[in-house]
Amino acid sequence: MKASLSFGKRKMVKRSDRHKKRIGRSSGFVLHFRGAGVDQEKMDKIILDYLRKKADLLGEDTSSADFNAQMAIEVIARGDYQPDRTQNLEGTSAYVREKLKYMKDLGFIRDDGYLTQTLRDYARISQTNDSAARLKLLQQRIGCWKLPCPQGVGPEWTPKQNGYRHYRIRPGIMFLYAVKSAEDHGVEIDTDDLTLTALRFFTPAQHDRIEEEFLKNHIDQYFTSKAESLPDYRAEFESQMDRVERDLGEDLRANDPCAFARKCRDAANNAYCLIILMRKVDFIEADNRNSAIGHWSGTQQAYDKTGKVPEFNVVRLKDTGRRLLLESIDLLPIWYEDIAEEDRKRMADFVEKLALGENIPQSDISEQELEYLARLGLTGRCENGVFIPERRPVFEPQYDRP
Amino acid sequence: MIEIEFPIITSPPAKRDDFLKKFQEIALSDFEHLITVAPFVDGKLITNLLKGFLFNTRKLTIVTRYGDLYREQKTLINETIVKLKKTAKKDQTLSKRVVWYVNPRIHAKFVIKDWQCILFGSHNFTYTALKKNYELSAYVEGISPFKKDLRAFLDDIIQHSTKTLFPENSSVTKKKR
Repeated sequence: MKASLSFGKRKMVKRSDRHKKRIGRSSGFVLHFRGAGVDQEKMDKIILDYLRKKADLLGEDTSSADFNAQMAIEVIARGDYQPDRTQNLEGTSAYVREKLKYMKDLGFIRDDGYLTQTLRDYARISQTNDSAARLKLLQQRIGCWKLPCPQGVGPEWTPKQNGYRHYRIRPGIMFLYAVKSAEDHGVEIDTDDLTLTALRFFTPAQHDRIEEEFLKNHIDQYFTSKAESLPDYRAEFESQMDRVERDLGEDLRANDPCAFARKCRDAANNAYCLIILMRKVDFIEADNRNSAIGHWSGTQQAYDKTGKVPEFNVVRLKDTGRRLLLESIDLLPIWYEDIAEEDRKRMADFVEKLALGENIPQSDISEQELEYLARLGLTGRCENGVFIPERRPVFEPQYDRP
Repeated sequence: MIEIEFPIITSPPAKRDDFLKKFQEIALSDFEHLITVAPFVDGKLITNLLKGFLFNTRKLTIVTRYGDLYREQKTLINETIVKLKKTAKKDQTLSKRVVWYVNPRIHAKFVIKDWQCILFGSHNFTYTALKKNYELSAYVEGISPFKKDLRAFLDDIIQHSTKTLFPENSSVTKKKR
């Protein structure tokens, strides 16, 4: 009886697999960068607030929802956010989550709440109001910013996973690459172009794995064709809408006449937010000249009581951005989760060493391990008893290790 | 040069928790080695303190009592040890950098940062001591001239500790007095 009861219970608690159908899918046109378009002063307060809460020696462990609500209360109390709904904190919690995502993207915070050196450094800098040091730190962080790889690419994945499991790119570097590619092709790059190139969302059905080589080819092809004739923006955005409807299995446009405008606006907003960040860290310059005149633009779509997306049109690289791109483009980003299960920690140690600019003595590493590094893309040569890689990896323990 | 901050007071009616603030300040500052010694500690406080020790080179030495603690204190410490062991799986250097000794005769209460400053007095590292009791302590900067004596004192405490809670298998020499 007992056995059958427990069996019944097991059956009852069996997890639904509905969420599996959404793996690698997204209802948006682009990767999410809303958190990037934040006001620096407000952001600094949130960062200090986070550190103060997490470093509180007598602090209690709280669920992330409670933690966000606590942060939300302080944000409202400071007057940094005016909640639409005064009866609950949902809107402000979402505002806080957006900020936390920004912090996670830039490697300030970890899921497990451990305090990173980057966070401590940033907090110290923001307290001293040293804007040059803050800028330098943010620039450095964007250089190593990788899209998060959800844990458990294998069969043991969890519903917490995001839609980027097949993405292996550094979004900041890809953004700069797109601007450089447009420059090389002698064309202008605006919010619409960014939406359709560096930030564009591909599903696994379109391409199994989005690596930087693939995205660079896509960007180059896009600007080659733009150099010949102006893209049909509307058709491009509509193909994205078709893809979203296919993914969701729902005819969104039939149910809501504003669905397309809303999606375009959301996509453009994401591109706009990343432009804000890249402009803030002095990598690009962008003006408000409307290059979209004469052609259809995703940023100009509006519905009901919403205005058009304020856009930066025509983005240009600055010397700092050009320098970072030059230094980083040949580096090889490696994700901890992509390192094979067996002896992952040992291999990750090797990768970390190489990322720090060190070489590995041949006596410390076996032939099989060298072969494995080569499979990760870390090919190289052995000279004077040390292994020297051709391309250095981008890998940091505090940022990459779960 | 020696600089003294005194008194470091905890007084509930005066709403003063200077020790906690100072300890907090030390925990958030840049250091390489932190030594915390107290008979009674709140496991949660140590868990929170440990948040600053993942994937870096900082060292932490903890000395507490264990066997004669209240059951609740012991439970919290046990939970902290479990968390510490889990964290050690993420960062393998942790077991080389964090050591938790148990000395049943410990009575001194102090925090030493990089052998440069010391926070010491009557405070245990418990919620009650840091918030509810009447306690008195002092903070001294520039203690390097006393490093030799303090080091010998700490070595004595460590040498006569009965076991380590973390890492589990580290060897401790037990000497008879």
